[in-house]
Amino acid sequence: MKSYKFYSRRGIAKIYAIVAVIIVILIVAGAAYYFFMMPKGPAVPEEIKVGLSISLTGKYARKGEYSLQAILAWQDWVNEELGGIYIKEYGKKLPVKIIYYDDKSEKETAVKLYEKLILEDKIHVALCPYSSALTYAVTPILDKYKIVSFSHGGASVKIYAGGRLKYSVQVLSPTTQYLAIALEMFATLTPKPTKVAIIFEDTEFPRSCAEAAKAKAEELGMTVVHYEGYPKGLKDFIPLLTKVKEKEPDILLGGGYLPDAVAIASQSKEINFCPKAFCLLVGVPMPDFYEALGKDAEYFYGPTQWEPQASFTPEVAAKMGLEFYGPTPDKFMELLAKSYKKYGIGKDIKSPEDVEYHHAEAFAACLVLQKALEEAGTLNSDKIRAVCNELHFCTFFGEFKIDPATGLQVGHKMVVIQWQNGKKEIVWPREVATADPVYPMPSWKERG
Amino acid sequence: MIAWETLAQVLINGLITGGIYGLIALGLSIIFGVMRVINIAHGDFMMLGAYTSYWLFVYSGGLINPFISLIISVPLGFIVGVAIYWILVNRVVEAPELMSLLLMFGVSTFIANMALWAWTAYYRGIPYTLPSISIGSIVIPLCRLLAFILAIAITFGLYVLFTKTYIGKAVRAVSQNRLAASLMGIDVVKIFAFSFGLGAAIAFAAGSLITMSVERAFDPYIGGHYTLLSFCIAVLGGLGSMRGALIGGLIIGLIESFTGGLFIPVSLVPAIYFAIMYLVLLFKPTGLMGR
Repeated sequence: MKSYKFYSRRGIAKIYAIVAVIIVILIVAGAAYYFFMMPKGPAVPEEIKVGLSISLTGKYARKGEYSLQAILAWQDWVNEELGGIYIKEYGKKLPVKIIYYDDKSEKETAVKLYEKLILEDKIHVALCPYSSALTYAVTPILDKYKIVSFSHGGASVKIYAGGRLKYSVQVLSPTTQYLAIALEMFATLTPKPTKVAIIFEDTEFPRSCAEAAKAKAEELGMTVVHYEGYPKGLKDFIPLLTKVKEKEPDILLGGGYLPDAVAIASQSKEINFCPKAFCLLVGVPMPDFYEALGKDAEYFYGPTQWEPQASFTPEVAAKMGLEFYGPTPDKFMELLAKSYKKYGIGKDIKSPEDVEYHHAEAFAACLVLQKALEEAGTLNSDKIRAVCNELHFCTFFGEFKIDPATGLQVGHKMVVIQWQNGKKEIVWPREVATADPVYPMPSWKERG
Repeated sequence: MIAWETLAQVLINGLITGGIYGLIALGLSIIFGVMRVINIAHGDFMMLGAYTSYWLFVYSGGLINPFISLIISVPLGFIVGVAIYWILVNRVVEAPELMSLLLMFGVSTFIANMALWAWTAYYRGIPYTLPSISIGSIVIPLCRLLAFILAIAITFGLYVLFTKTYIGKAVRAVSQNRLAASLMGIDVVKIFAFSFGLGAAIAFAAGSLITMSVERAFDPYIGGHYTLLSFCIAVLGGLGSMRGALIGGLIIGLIESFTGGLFIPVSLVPAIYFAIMYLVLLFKPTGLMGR
C-alpha cells in the first residue's frame, strides 16, 4: 500500500514535471515566434483604402456620377498635390485609394458591395452611397464591422435617429433643416410673419421637413394656421389652396418635388392667392422651375444644400471664427474639371453654374474624412469617430459640426435662394448672401 | 357657417375643372362605345398632346400658345389615331376584349418609353398665363376658364357631329348594331378608323388644354394617371355615353372641389370619389347615363 502510494506520488510528480516542461517550451516557442516573426510596432499599410458603392446606373445615376467625379477629384488632389494624408502613428504621409463599385441604385446591391469592400478589399474608412434610402440600408453593416462612414447624400434624419449608428458621420444638413432654416430667415424680416401655412406631399421626405417646420414655427412664436398633407401625384391644388387662402397666412411653406412646386405656384396665381412669401421644397432652386413658370417664378424661395455662388471662402470662415480647411471654391471647380478630363465621369465644368450641389456634398465629405484621419493620427475606427465629435471647422461647403451622440450634422447651414429678375439670389445665410430678400413679395396684380 | 362667396368659389372651381375632366374622358368613351376597345393608351395620347403644345410653344418663341396649338394638335391626334388603328387595332377589333386591352397596354408602354427616349424625363411646363378675373372676392382663373370653354365647345361640336352629319350618324349606327349598320351599306372598318382617330384627337386636345390648368409641369409618365382618371369618369357616367362622360367629369370635378376645399383632408378625396363611383355602380351598373 505504502510503496504503491509512494510510487503513485512520484508518478504524479513526474506527470506534473512533464506538463510544466511542455508549458515552458510552448511559452518560449511562442515568445520566440512573436519576437522573430511579428513585425516590430504596428503594420504600416501602403495606402489608405476608402471604399464606397455609388450609383452609376439606375435612377440615381446622374447624381451618383457627380458625386463620384468629386470623390475622384479629391483623391487626385490629396495624392498629387498634398502627397497623401499624414498619419502620426506611422510618422508619414499615406496616399489614399478610392475603391468603388456601381450599386445600380439598388439597396440590395449596395449592401452586398459594402460587405465585399469590408471583407475582401479590407477598406479602412468608407464613404456612404448616394441617397437617403441607400445610406439607410448600408450604414448598419458598416457599423457592425466598425468602419467609420461619412454620409454625403443621405439627408434623412431617420438614418441617424436615436443613436442608431455609432460609426457614421453626416456631412450634409439633415431633412429637418430644409424648411426650418427658411423660417429662421423669415423671423428676421419685417413685418415679422406671424401666420404660417404648411402643405406637403404626404411621403417620407416632405413630411419630415413639414414636421420640423411646424415645430420650428411654434418655437419662433408663429401660429401654424393650416397644416395638411396631400396625396402624392396631386394635380389640382385649387381646392386645397382655396382652403388655405381663407386663413390668410403670411407664409406658405411645404410642397414636395418639382411638379408640386410648379403647380402650387401657377395655381396660387390662378386663384390670386398671394401670401407675403412662398417657400417650397426641392423644386424651386432647379432651373426647370423658372423655365416652366417664366416670370411667375419670381420671388419664390427654396432651400438647398449648397449653391455655387454661396461658396464659403477663407475670409467668410474667418468672419465666422472658424478654421478654413481644404481647397477654395475656385480651386474646387478646377479640380472637378480636371477629374472630368481624366476619368470622363460626371460632367465638364466650364463655369460655376455647372457645379451641382452633389459635387460639393461629396467633396466636402472627403474633406471631413481627411481632416478626421489627420487629427486622429491613426486608422483606428474608434479614435477616428471620437475625433469627429471634436471637429468644428469650415470648408467651401460650409460649417461642419456633428451631434456627438448620433452623428447627425448640426453645423452645416442650408442655403435659401430666391428668384429675382430671372436669377437665383442667395438670401440666407447672411454671410454668403448675394442679395436681400424681397419681402413681402409684390401681389400677382402688381406683377402683371 | 360657410360664407356664400366661399361656396360660389368652390362651385366655380369644381365646374371649371369638371368640364375639362369631361373632355378627358370623352375620347376614351367614344372609342369604347363604338368598338368595345378599352384604350389604355388614352393617357399617353394626352401626354403626346401636351408635348405637341409644348414644342409648338418653344419653337414658335411663345407665339403659338396652347389654345392656338389645338389647331395643330387635334389633326395630328387624328392622324396618329387612324394610323395606330390601321397598323394595330384593326387586327384585334373583332377579338375578345382582353386582346385589345393587352395590345393597347403595349401601345401605352411603347409611347411612354419613346417619349422618354426622345424628350428625356425632365419636367416641362409652358410658361403662358392669363390674368384672373375677380368678381368681389371670387376669383376666376382665365386660363382655366378658356380651357373649360374650349372643352365644352369641343363636346358640343361632337354632339352636333353625331346628331347632324352622315358620318356621325354612321358612327352611332355602328355602335348600336355593327351587323345592321354594315347591311345598310356603312363601311364599318372605316367608321372604326374614324372613331379611333376621333378619340385620339380628343385626347390630344385634352392634353393641350391640361397644360393650361393642372399640368404645369409634366413628364412622359403622366399618361397612367389620366388613363385611370378618364376610366373612372367614363365608368361613372356610363362607358360609351358622351353625355355620361361630361356629367361624370362634372361630378368628379365638383366632388374634388367641395370635399377637398371645404370639409375633409385632401388626402381622402380620391377615396371619396371611388366610393361614390362604387355606390353608383351598385345601384346602376351601366353608369349614370349608360343604357
